Amino acid sequence: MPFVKIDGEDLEVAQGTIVLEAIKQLGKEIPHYCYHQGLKIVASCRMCLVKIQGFPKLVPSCQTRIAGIPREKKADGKYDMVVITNDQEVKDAQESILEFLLLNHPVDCPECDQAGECLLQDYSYRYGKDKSRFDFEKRVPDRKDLGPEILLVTTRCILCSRCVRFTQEITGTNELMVRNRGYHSEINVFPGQSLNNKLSMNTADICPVGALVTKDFLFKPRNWRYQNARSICPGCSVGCNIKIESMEENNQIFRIKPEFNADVNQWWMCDEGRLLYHKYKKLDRLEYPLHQANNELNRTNWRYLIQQVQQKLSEYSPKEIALVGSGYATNEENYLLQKIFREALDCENIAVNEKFVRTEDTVYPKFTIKGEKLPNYQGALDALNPTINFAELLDKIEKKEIKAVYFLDGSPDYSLDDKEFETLKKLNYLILQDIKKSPLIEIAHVVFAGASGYEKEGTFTNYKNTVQRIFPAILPAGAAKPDFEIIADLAQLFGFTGYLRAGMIFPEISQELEGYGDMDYNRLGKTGLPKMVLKKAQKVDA
Amino acid sequence: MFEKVLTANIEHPDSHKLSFYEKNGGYSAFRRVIKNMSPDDVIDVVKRSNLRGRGGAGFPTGVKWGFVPKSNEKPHYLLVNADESEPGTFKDRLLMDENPHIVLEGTMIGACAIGCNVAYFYIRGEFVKEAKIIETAIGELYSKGLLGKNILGSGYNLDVYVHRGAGAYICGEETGLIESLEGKRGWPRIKPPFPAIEGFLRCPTIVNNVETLACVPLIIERGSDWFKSIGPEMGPGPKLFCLSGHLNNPGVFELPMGVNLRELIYEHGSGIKNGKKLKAVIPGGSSVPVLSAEETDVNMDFESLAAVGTMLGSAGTIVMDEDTCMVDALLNITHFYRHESCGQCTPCREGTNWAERILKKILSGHAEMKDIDLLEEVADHINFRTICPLGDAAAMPIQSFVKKFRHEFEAYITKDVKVGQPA
Repeated sequence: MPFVKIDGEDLEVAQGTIVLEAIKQLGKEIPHYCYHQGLKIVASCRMCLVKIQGFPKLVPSCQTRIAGIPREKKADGKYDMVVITNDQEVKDAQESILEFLLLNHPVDCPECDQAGECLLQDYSYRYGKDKSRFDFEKRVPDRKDLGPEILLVTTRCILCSRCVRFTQEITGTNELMVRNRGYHSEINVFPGQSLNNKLSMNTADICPVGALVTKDFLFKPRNWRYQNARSICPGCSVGCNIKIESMEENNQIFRIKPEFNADVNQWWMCDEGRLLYHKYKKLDRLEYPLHQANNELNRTNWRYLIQQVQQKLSEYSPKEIALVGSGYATNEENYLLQKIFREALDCENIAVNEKFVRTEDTVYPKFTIKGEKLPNYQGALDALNPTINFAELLDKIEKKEIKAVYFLDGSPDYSLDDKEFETLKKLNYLILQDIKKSPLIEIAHVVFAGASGYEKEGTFTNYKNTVQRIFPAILPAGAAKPDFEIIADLAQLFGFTGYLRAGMIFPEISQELEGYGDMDYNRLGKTGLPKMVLKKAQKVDA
Repeated sequence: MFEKVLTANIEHPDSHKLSFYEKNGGYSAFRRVIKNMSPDDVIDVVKRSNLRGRGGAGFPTGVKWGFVPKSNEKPHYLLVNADESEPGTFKDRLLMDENPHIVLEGTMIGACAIGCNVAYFYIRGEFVKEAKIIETAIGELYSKGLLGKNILGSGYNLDVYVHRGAGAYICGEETGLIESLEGKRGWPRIKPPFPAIEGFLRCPTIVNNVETLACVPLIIERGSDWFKSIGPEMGPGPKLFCLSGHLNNPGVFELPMGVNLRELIYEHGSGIKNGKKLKAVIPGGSSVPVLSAEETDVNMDFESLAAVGTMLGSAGTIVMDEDTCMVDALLNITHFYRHESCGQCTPCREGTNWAERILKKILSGHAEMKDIDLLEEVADHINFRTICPLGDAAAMPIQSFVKKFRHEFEAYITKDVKVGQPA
């Protein structure tokens, strides 16, 4: 492997590594705008210029690859390359590029949504001049409405072309271009086009300045005012890693952004997933546990209701009861619930809710949005190991063979048809665990108010069998509880104790479920680390 | 006595016709190459001739051809750079107008040498007439069986197409030209990979200037020793010099490489107009550093000009008399580069504009002394920091004008000088 010296520090890197990445490996920062790991290298911003021994001029570190060279050519007899990033010449170059970029920049940070997470701001503080020497009128091109989600504040643009390359390489939709030439260059959509692909909001993420902004985040509080949770998007079975920005004071989510995960979503996520929190916000949520008595649903308390359920379930014979697990529930929730049914109630009627939104996958050259609009279907199959399918279950209810059902849901959509509804209506006892008010609560005997994917912890298994942890960003609505807590309380009454948190059942999951064998809950991933090391579960009998 | 070879017959009304060209020995070099020479032989002869590119950079042509991979995994391409647009340069235009077949013969020999079956003639958009002449000439070659399939029974196929540019200076930069030919924005590419490895359509590609290719048939015909005997050995050959500016006799002159600049101005250019004194000369097109009158005792070849801190470039020699306002002249040049900057990389896009505005400010009489320093600094910040040489081309005139004629810039600040008047 090539051996390099960077500012006096020795480093061994893989053949072909670019200098910029080698510098990063040393924990040093090298300022850059146009370079993005997920996009083609253009070396046009010239911000990452460094000095390399033997080169006649400064070179962009994003473009220069490190390669092993013959022994006799090595510097000091051992180095394949000697890089300097901190001498006066490099500093002068960095300062001058920043000065150029700021010539026409409005410096409107006080009203810019990017402030606080802006590379122009950060680098200007670290590498720039404190005064402008440009005493001419600035260029003020118009703002542009590029598409349904994205606005271009053209004055702030530094023409790094990341957004253009994104639409060329990741989505292949090519809506964006650089228009005009030289000093008059501007980002724009092609005439008659709109930036309306399903990944369009990623362009605002990769915009290093405040030029491309999402309409959703326009004029919202500054990024430093949020608490962050790293979690998994509950919008489909891809399982994109996300950062949820929320505020404790009003228990609201303000923004969701993708987090890098090499195996799952790289740097991206879809607009639908990003805006999904609005759907949950608008949802008519279940806020209290409800109990049906004399044909009326009443608010009740958790302890009483769970005791009721434990007693009622025990009254039926094992063949008369059934469990319907959910692809919206975590592996821990599904697993613990089936454990109660299988081990305490001796019941073998275990099904999974197969009624969820399924559309076509949206396939872009470098990103796929799954049509399976729930986050943990694979995990539900793994954890529940279903013994009957949903149709058979309904059939048995029709035949009065099954009389009591524990129906775990958690989906933001109600997706049963009338016939299925009528069938469930025939049950003697229906326990519904859900997050939304739906027609089902009218026929349920017990309603447990649960939590959405943004409000609980546990693990999801995506369609590619990657097991990932989710973390709560906000609290469940009203007196609703995270589903695992509800199920654990019930489990306790059946004699299964010790499940205070989702992680406490994970050792059992890794022991019992095929493919989860060598996993450790705490090592699945930690919020805030740039990389999550995930172990692949093998597909259960695919 | 120097014998003109590139422009020997251009006065003849039929000089652009195939029949005339062949009657005067044309295409005998190509016939020899296609019948008796291997590609390596051709490259070898050109290498030994020390022919250096006439477009501006002066890269050895044979060496460039040698970079093309010998394998034929991908098709190879030869692109003729006829996007001549450096201010003060009008030599390729003359060749295309009056002697198109020597250029085409050179193209065909070059194509043989690098093993390519398709060549493109990328002609500057404004050269409407030249595009027609080249197209007619290509038509003549097809009808005579000198282009197309199985040329002269050799089994070798070659097609040559004319592609007209849209008038952007940057498309004369070889990778900008390639992008433009591919139908994209003329944004120069980052290198490596170099075009010889990965160029047009990501295939091995050679881009040669019109005049460079025009020298090739002569080298094949008369030998590399003959070529080397003209002018300095390390960059020899007949050379077209474009004389413009305040001269009694401006025009294109074919002279041996290394002709003295004073001889060029006072003998061939018949001296300065109206008996004025010489103030400055830009020897190689507007992008190279300017020479003051005292520095003009220099030979016009790659090495001699490099020794005095400038370049032969495209040999577009712009002569300025004593009445020229150097600040105004620099504004003219800087305006050009600002206008032609492609906008891809930061220093050139922003720096050229800033420099132009500072110059306008100086000319307006509202500048301060520190603005001159700032102008120099802006140029320093562009120079060597851009993707393509356009940044350097914009910076070098600024650096040299300010360095050599600083008193004229200062006069606008210290004295009350009106725009356009010499200091």
